[in-house]
Amino acid sequence: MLSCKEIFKLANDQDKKPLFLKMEIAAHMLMCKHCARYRDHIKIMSENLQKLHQKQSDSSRENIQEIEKKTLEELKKRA
Amino acid sequence: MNKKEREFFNSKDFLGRLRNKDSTAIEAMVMAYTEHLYRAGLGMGFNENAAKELAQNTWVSFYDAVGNFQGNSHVRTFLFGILYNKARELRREEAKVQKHDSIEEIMEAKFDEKGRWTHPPMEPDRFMEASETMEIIEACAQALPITQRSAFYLKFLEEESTPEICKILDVTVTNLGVLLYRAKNKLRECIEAKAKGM
Repeated sequence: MLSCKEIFKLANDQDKKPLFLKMEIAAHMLMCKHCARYRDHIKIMSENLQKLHQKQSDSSRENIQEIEKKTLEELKKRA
Repeated sequence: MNKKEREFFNSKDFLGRLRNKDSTAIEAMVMAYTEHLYRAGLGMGFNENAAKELAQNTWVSFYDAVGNFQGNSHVRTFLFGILYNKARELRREEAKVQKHDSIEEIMEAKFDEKGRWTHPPMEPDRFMEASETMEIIEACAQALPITQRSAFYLKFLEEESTPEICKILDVTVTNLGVLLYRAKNKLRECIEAKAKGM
C-alpha cells in the first residue's frame, strides 16, 4: 500500500495519470482522514478565492470603461 | 469570448493590421481585452487603482512591441506575457523559479520517515469558516509572490491551458507544477494558521 507521502506526490503531479493510479488515490482518500482533509481544504480554498474574485470583478464595469477610454486617448497620442 | 472571436484576433489579416498599428485593429483589441487585463490584475492581488494602472501600462507596452510580434502564440498570450512582466516590475520581484526546485524537496518536511503526515490538516469546518472570511483569504493570497499567484490565478480562476500558462510565465511544465504546488500549499497553510487563531 502506498503511504500518504506517495499519494500526495501522485495527486500533485501535473502529468496525466493512468486509471489504476487514479483509483489508488481515490481508494486512499476513502480510508485516510488526513489526506481527504487536505484535498477538501484545497477545494474549499479555490472555491472561496473564486467567489472573492467574482465579487471584485462584478463591481468593476465603470473602472474598465475608464481604462479603455484613457488607453485609447494615450495610444492616439503615440500614433 | 468564443472560439470564433479568438480566431478572429489571431487571423493573419488582423495581425497584419495590428503590426501596422492600424487604429481600428488596436481599438478592437483594447475593447476586447481590457476587461481581461483588469480582472487579471485584481486576480494577481493588486488593488483597483494599481490594477487600472497596470492595464494601461500593459497597453502602452503592447502598442510599442506589437510591430515585432511574430505570431508564435495567440496575441492574447503575448498580451498577458506583457502584463505579467509589468506586474513583476511593479512589485519589484525578480526570480521566477529556481531551476533545481522540485516537489519532492519541498514536500519532505510534511511527512515523517514512514510517509505519514507530521502535522495533519485540521478538520474542514474550521478551515471553511476561516477561508470564507474575505479578509483572511485576501491577506493570505496577498502574501504569495507574484509568479505563484499568477500561476494560481491563470490555472484555477481563468482555467487557462497549461501550454498557454507556460508561455505567459515563461516557465517549463515542471516549473509550473512546482509553482502551483507552492501556491496551493502556502495559501492552505496560511488559512489554517489563521483558523487556529480564530
